[in-house]
Formats: sequence, structure tokens, C-alpha cells
Amino acid sequence: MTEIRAIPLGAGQDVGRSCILIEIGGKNIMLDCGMHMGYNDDRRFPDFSFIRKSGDLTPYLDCVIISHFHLDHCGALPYMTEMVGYNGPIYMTHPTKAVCPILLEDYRKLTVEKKGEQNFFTSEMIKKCMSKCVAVNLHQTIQVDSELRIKPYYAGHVLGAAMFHVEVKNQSLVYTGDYNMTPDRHLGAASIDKCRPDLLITESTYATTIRDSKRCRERDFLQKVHECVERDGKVLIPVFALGRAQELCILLETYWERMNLKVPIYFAVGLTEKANNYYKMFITWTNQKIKQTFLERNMFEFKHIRAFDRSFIENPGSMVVLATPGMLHSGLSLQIFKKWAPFEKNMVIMPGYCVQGTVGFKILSGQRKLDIDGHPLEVKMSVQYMSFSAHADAKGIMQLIGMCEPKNVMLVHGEGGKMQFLKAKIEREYGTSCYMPANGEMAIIDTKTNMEANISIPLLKRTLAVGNTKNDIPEPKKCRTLHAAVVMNNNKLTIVDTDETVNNVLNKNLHHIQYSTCLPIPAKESAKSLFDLLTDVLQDVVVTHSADGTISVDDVDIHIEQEDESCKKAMISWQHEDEQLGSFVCKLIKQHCKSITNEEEN
Amino acid sequence: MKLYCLSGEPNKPCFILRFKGTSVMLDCTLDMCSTLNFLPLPVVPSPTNIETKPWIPTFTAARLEDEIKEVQDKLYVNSEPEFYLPELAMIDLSEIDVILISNLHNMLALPYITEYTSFTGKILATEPTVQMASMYMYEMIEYLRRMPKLNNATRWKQTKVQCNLPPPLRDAIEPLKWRKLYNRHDVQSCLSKVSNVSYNESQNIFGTLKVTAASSGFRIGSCNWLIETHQEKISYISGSSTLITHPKSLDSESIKRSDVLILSTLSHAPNESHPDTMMGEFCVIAAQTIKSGGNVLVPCYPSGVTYDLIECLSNHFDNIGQSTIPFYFISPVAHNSLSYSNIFAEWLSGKKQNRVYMPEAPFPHAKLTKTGRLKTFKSIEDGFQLEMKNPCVVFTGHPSLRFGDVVHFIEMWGQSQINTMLITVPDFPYLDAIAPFQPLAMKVAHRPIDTGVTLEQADKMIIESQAANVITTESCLSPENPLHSDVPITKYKRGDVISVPIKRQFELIGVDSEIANNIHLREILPGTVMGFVSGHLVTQDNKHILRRFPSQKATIKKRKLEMTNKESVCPIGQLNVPDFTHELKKLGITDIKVEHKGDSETVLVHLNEDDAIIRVEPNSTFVICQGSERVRSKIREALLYCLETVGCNR
Repeated sequence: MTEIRAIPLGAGQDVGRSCILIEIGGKNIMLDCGMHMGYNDDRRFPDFSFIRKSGDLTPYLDCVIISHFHLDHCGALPYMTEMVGYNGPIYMTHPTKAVCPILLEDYRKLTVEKKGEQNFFTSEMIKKCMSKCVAVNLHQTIQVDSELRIKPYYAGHVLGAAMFHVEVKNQSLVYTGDYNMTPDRHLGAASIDKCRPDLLITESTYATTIRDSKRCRERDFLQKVHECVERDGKVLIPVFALGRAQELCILLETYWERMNLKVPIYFAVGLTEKANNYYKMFITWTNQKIKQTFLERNMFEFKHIRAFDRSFIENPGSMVVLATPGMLHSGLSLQIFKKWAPFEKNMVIMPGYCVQGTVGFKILSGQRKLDIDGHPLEVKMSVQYMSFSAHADAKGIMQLIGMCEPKNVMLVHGEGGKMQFLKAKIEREYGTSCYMPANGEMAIIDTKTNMEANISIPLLKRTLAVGNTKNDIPEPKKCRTLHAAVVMNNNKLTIVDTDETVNNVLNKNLHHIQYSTCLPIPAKESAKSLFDLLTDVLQDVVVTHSADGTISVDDVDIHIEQEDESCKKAMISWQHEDEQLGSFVCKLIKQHCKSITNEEEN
Repeated sequence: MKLYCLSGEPNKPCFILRFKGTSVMLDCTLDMCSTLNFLPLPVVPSPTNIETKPWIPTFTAARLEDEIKEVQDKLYVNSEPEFYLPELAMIDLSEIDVILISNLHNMLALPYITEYTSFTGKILATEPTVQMASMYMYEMIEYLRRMPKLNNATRWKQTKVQCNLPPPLRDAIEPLKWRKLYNRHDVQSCLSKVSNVSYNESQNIFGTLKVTAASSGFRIGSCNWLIETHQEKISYISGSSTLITHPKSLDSESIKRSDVLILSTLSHAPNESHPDTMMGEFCVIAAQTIKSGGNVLVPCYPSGVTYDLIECLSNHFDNIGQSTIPFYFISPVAHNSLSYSNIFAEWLSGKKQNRVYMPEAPFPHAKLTKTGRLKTFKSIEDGFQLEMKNPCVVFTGHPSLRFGDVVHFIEMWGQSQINTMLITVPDFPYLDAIAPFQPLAMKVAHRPIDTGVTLEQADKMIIESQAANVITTESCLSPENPLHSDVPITKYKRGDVISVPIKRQFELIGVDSEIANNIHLREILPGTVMGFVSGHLVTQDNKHILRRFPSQKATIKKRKLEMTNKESVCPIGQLNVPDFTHELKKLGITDIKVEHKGDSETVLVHLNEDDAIIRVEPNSTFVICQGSERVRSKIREALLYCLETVGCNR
């Protein structure tokens, strides 16, 4: 098995419903299990019948990995485990495990209680599902079974977001989930070792964007908010309860304090205190600055930001409200939006990406006459888009590729057209193949893996010593030729010394054959010039020139002999096993001498 | 494999492991028992209850009256307390590649190494270990900083003086090597050099060793270290606990299948004092004292078991309706310690971890602080005097009773028998610790709580680990308390160098898939499968890879990449010369002269016309020719035809 197969059930040339099936080294892994915010029908969940027509998925999956708590990455989890059926392990970080059930419950309430849908997962199912989740710590290597190992890395995107390194025997891949390569107000930047995976599956939400500096964006944002409240307007900022909301709060809080503003800021999130509590408890997952100052002052205790009440919607005067959900598709943020939209002095700031089909998406694409649940609505308020969403931009994605040096790249979680652009860029700049399968399409990635074997230590040491004269520094990057016998031991290849093994096994001695070829060389040639020639041509082989005049090309030796004034000879010697290199060196020197003689004659 | 034992104290481990050309230091613990030889340092320079007399020696003229004081017939050094370091001179510390730290206690000598020696390697520890250790360090520094400056006692240390002193000073070990505590700057600089690891996060040391921290259940973030090559495994067991308290529980799976087990720390406590029993008695005694209107003094470290003490005691007080009794935690790092404990959820027991998902703070002391039942103070001068209500429970340091606010409390409460001092820290012989304060009217109860593994549990660990070799400290074992397993046990003491026979025969190598596919294995003899391999050996970061012969630069026209059949066979046995000449003739070489060299087995074959000579010996053949490839390849063909070969026949 020298290939990795990947099929996106969601997030293939699309944003939302992240769910990628992987077959690596005979193991089947599901990366994320998200839902799509843009749909209300069957399409909102991944099509699990792809794995099995019906019935329990447990025998078909070795594990499920959840990268972070956003619903487009974990929203279908209870549906999959409890309604489709899966009892195997599910891995996620501690903060994800803590926050995930709350967002799932929110989502469930919205769907069942507000929209009155039947046949949806229940609270009980969420609980059961979460009990199957195993919480993991950053950088901890988890041995899923004897062959499959996973290791999470910091991804930045939201509290507890992780990238996962998956390794089966000699094959490996990295799945980024969503990540952010620039540290923000409350989270650090994603980082990973140079782990050289066979495949990097990266999100590509901002595949074509190169964002200006974060500071500028923040200043813009604050300026716009400030201007709006100055002219007595109301500012609505739709957010998700956890993540961006906390960053914006820190931003507004510090600005309000600095500018000594009195305009009220409200945080209309059902879970305000709870949400902020999570940040307090998982402070080790935030950035360095917050970690260092938490003893004196917890950044998540806000002075200027107060809880919102529905009745405040009609309040006169300016205010700033952060309300959920972030894409204006339902709930309080939509309700406030409907009230405030008809007035020019008001403003809505969309701080993140909006999925197609949501009100957020419509107003961002310039639509000003909306139809919401059958009621027409004309949007007169100013609509602003501020990319605060913590995804890596094109530069960040390229940076991550440089960081982990994958052999292949696969793009998910982005729009097809933009992916195309990034794919070309990656292939051009890194020379790695890049895949971008659509949903349901399989990408087959060929991997070359080395086979593991044992090698006898004396043999290894002897081989490595070739070309290391007494006091010089070994040349580790050069190759040495190794000829050896191979025996099978407990199903593992063992490389051993040929002489010894032939002796032991066959009770016979090896018959050594040495070839020596004597070549006449032009008088002006010297050991030095031949050495230069050989080092130049054979750049990857150890070529040494020892004090007694012998040149060694790996195991091939060359002596220069001066017979008389006009005649010099090169004696080239090698063993039977080194025939290839020996005859090559011979030919090379012959050709070289010939060309020199020809030059002289001309 | 060699193990240098820099410390002999069972619970103050410090080793250097030399293995595979790599030097690894395992822990570096500070021995604080030396401080017991010093006079307790008063918190405020006020008249104290400790009656000291200058001590005039009879055997020497050396002036010791400033240095040595007599208290209750016992001698104490009148100087800033000093500490006994591991034997750092045993090895050139610049040779150490990495230091592995198992828990916060075993890190306390680290600043001496990073700041005052030539060590430049890497240091690995878990994040909580680093945070907690830094608190222990800062606490001690702060305690000592507050003290009035004392003169520096050195004369008593001279060997000829010391050997004439009465015990215990006479028996103090190597006082000349004792050192003053490091300072704040040392600690800062030292901690900045430590890299954090998670449990089960494998770290590669120069590609030769893989080191992994495995949860040890002893303190928040404490670990045992696994040091592995692809074949061998050494498990280093430091402070470990099989009990379920607040830290994440012991990962006993990880030490299985070890070749060598280094067992450095065992519980101090005698068998009959199970920690649960001790904890129970601790609560009862504290409650009795409070009930009778007395105060309870608990000398303690700023973290670790202290969290359990607070938790258990507050629960006990709730149960007996004493929930209004205030707890005071007095330490320069008390607030920090409590705050940090509540953000390390990942490192806590499952039960504590689950509370975070609510989200609630994992430790009840968060709630106790919020409700004001538990108050923290940096020192007694930090507004404590105003807040204090009797009766109360005070947790404070340092448990050696030689410095810190505890000295003040012993002086303040020591003269009243309604008060109780509850000693739970097992690290110091308690009678020696309280000796300079005698006579004390307050009750002193010794209820040592040591959650570490006992001998019995150690036996179980040894069996589970299936280790072929066990190394443990001499003083852990006594004839009455032997280890029962059959495994050979090597005992160590300070200064020992132990050689452990680990025979390493093989190293791991990656074989390029193309080469691997081209290895043709044949069963040469029944049960023996053999083949041959050729390739280029490349070594990078101590990882070996066998690659196929490299493709050439465009400038070189042809260098055959694939090996020919002939090369991949191995000639064996002897060459039959008549057969060989016959074969040569068949290939068109006619001018052949065979010359026998005297009575030796050497035969020379001259091919005069073709300018070549072949020297045949029993196990080797030398072919010398004058540059003609045509001739040489014919000779080669004939040789391989005549010799018996092993290898593939494709």
C-alpha cells in the first residue's frame, strides 16, 4: 500500500460541512464531521451512505478526528454517532470537548425548537456522542492502535483548534482544520514541526487573499465603529459565541478605555459568562501575552461590556451590540438586523465569512432588497465587511507548507475557483503536486516509503568510516556504497556483512575479485587535477585525496604513478561489487585524458 | 550504557545516562536537609524565643562564636541556610546533551547547572512542572531575601574543625560543597532555557534517542521518562504515585517491556502510614484543635499535597459544621499557585478534568477563595494581621522550619498548648526540624503524607516492566525491606558509575522502496532466507537510509543505473584455474601462460597479448589490465562463469 486515498464528503471545493475520508496504510480515518450552514435539507450533513449503505460505521472507520468546535467541523457528529451509528474513538482537544456540546445544543435548539424540525438529534444523543470523545493535549502522541498514531499541533483559529499529524507505519499526513498563521488578540499563531508528511490537507478559505496587516484592519474597524456611534448610529456585529467574539471584545474594551468612551457595548450571547469562563480555564491555549498577565488581570473579565437584553433593541441613542449567530441566518442577530437595517445611520459589520444562502452572504454580495421569511426588507444601513476571521491567507498557507515540507498538498475548505489559483501557485513555488478533489471525488496520492530494516552496527560503522581520514570531519551528506547480505529475521529484513554471513550460513568463504586498470595519463595531469575532476562530476559520492597521493572515490582507489618524465599512469582499483562505479571512473578518466590530448593536438 | 549517580539520596535523584554516544541528565534535585543544621531565621528582627548561646570550642583557636550557636544543647550554624548539590564535578557538564526533569522537586538544582556551569544543552520538562518549580524557587528566594543579612559562616566547615564538632554538625556531609541559594535573575534565565513537552510527546535527541514523558501521578505535570532507541528501552521512574489524587494518574502501561528500569524515588513513609489514613487523622486533629479554640499551623510547600490538604480539610469542616473557620495560605506565591492549579486541567485527574467541561474550576479552592473562606497573603506583613481571626488554619512555608513565615507562627503560637502544628511534609526528619524551637508548648503532630510508590508497589512495577535490569538506590532497600522480584538489582550510591550491559547489535535503516523491491530473497538452506543488497548509504541527522545509486548530472552521459545480473551475485569458494583458462579461450583469448608461484597456492595467469595479468589465490583473484575494457569484461565474464555464486538469478 503505497498510496493515500482521500475523499471529501464535504468541504471539497466548498466551505462548510468539513468531512474528509482518508485511507492511509490500510487505516480509514474521518477528518472532521461538520454540517453545512447554507442548507436545511439532507445536504447539511455529509453523505455517510458513501461509507456504508446503511448501518453501523464502526467496522469501517478506525477513528474520527475533530479539529475544532465550529459547527461546520463538528455539527454532524451526534447525527453520525447516534443516528447513523459509530462507536469507535473520536479525538479532539480539551477545549473542543468542553465547548462542542454547548454549540451543538444551541444548534439543536435552533433547529428543533425554532424551526420545528422533527427527526433531529436530541440532547441525550449529544451527551452520548460526547462520551465517546477522547480529549487530547497538544503535541501528545496518541497511539490509536499498534500502527496508527496521531499528534495534535496548535492551530490558532479558535480556542482549542488543532492540526493533526496522522501516521501509519511509514506514511503520514497533516490535516490542518482551520488555522491562522498570525497571532491575534487572544490566540497564538499555528505552528508545526518540519515533519515532512506525505500529504498536507490544508484549508484554503482565503486562497487568493493577501490581507493587509492585522493592525490596520483593527484600526479600520475601530474607526468605523467610532464614527458610527459619534453620529448617533447603532452598530451591529454578528458573531459566534466563542472565538472571534472574545477577540473583538478585547479590542473594543481597550479602545473604549483609551478613548474614554461612554457609549454602551452589549454582548448579546446567551453564554456570555460561560463562554468567557472557558477562556479563563483554558488560558494555556491563548497567546503568550494573556498567559503572562492572567495572574494580575484576566483579559476575559470586561469592564465596559455588558449583557444585552432584547428590550434594548428599541432603545434610543447609539450602542454597539455583538450578537449571535455570525452569519445572520437566524436568532437574535437577525432580529436586531431587521429592526436596524432600514436606517442609514446604523451599521452592520460582518467580521467573518458567510456561507451562501445566509442573509449575511446576501448583504455582503451587495443585495439591498431582501426577502426574509416572506417579509420584504430594504437595507439602508451601512454594510461593512471586516475580515477578522482567523483563517490563514494565501501567504499563511504558503508559510505552513514551508514549515512542514509536505510531499503533496491537498486543498479543501475553499471555493473551487480560488483553489485553482492557489494550486498553481503551490505547484509553481514548491514543485509539489497539489490536489483539490470535489465532494465525493477521490484523490489518490502516490507515496514512496522507505522500508524499515535492521543493519548490523559493525557493518554500519565500517561503511560510514569510508573516506574519513584521521582528523578530518566526516562528510555526512555524502553517500557511501554499501554492499551487504540480507537475511530475514522475525519477518524483518536484517542487513549484515556479506563475508561473515556467507561464512556462517554456507560454511564457505567469499571469493574476492579485485580489478585494477592502468591508464596512461598526460604528463601535465596530476593527482590534484584528477581529484578536482572527480569531485566535480561525482558530487554525491565521497571523494578524498589522502596524503600519500591516493584518491578514493568511495571504495574505488586511484594511484598516480610517475614512470618517467613523459609518462604518468593512473592505477584504478575496485572490488567486484563496485564494478559499476569502478568502470565508470575508468571511463571518465579515459575520456578526460583523451579530450586533453585532442586539445593539445589541435 | 553507563549511569553516573550524582546523588545517593533516594528521593533527591540526579543521574547522567550515557547511551549511544548521547549524554542525558536525569533530574537535578536540591538536597534541602542541609538547612536543618542552620539556625531558624526570624521573619522580623525581633526578640525571639529561641535562646542561643555562643559556642566556644575547646579543641581549636578558631573563632567560631559568631558561626556556631548552641540551642538546647544542640549546635546550629548561624548563617544563611545552604544547600547540598548533586555531585556535579563527576563529569564535564558541557558534554550533556539534554536534561530531563520529572517533577518540580527534581528541578530545584537546575539554576546552578544552567547559570554556573558550562552546560549548554537542551532541557525538557512539562509546562506545569516548570511553572510550579519556578514558584518553589521564587518562594525560597523571597523567604531568604527578607531575612536580615547574616555573616557568612565558613570557618566551621574546615575539615579539621568540623571533625571535632559534636554531632550532628560533625556528621554533616561535605559542607564545603554546600552552596547559597541562587537569585531571581538566575531563575529567570534558567527557566527561559527549558523547553516544554506534553505527556507522550516523543522528542528526538539528535536522531539517536527518543525520549518521552509519561504521566507519573505524583504532582501536576510530573512524569517518568522513557528513553528509547528503536530496539532498547530504558524507563526512568522518578516520583510516582499509584494513588488517585489531583494529578493525572500514573501511566503504568508506558513502562512495560523495558530493558532497564531505573527506580529513583520511593515513599519515605513506613508501611503502616497510608496517605489516606494520615489525611484522615490530619483532618481530625485539626478539627479537634479548632474546636478547643486553638489555631492550626500547617508547614507546607506552595503546591502539590497542599491542594489536597485544603480540599480535604474544607470538606471535613463542612461535614462537622465548622465551615466558617478561615484558612490562610501565606506564601509569596500562594495566589499564583492557586491560580495556576486551575488552568492546568489537561494535567489533572479525570474527575477534576470533567469539572472544567461544566465549566467550573477543577479545584474547590477556587470557590473557597471566591467566598473568602480561603485567603492568600504574600507574607504576614501583607495585611494579614488585620484580617486574621482566631481560631484559624494557616498553611505556610518553609517545611524545613528554618526560614519563611512558618518561623514566625511557631514563635507566636508555640507557647500555647491549645495550638497544634501538623507536620505533613515527609522530606525532613521532623524531630530535627522542630529541635531548635524546643521546648514547645504547642502540640506537634507528625502525619507524613507521602503519595509516592511504596516498596510493595515498586515490586509490582518491576514485574510489570519485565525489565532485565533494575537499578535502584542502596538506601531504599534494607534487609527488612527487600524487593521481592527475581530481577537482578544493581544498587547505587552517590558517586557510583554503573555499567549496564545492553548489547546493541542492530541499528534501524530505511531502505528505498525500489531497492527493497529488488532484493531477491531465496531460501539457500532450509530455514535460511538470504539475498544481497547494494545501494548508497546516506546518513542525515543520525538516520540511515539506503538509497538507489543516484542519477547522474546531465553532463555525464551514461552511467548505468541498474545493476547487472553479474554484480548482484556473490562469488564464493575457489577458482579452478584450468576451467578458467578454458573459458577464456572460448571467449577468444588465446595467449595464456599459467605460472605457479613456488609451492604456495598462488597462481599467476599471464595474458601477454592482451596486456593483462591475473593473480589467483584461494579466496581472491586480482585482475590487472592496461586500460582495455574489452579484455577486462571478458576476464570478468570468465571468472563469474567459473566461480560458484550465491545471489539472485533473475
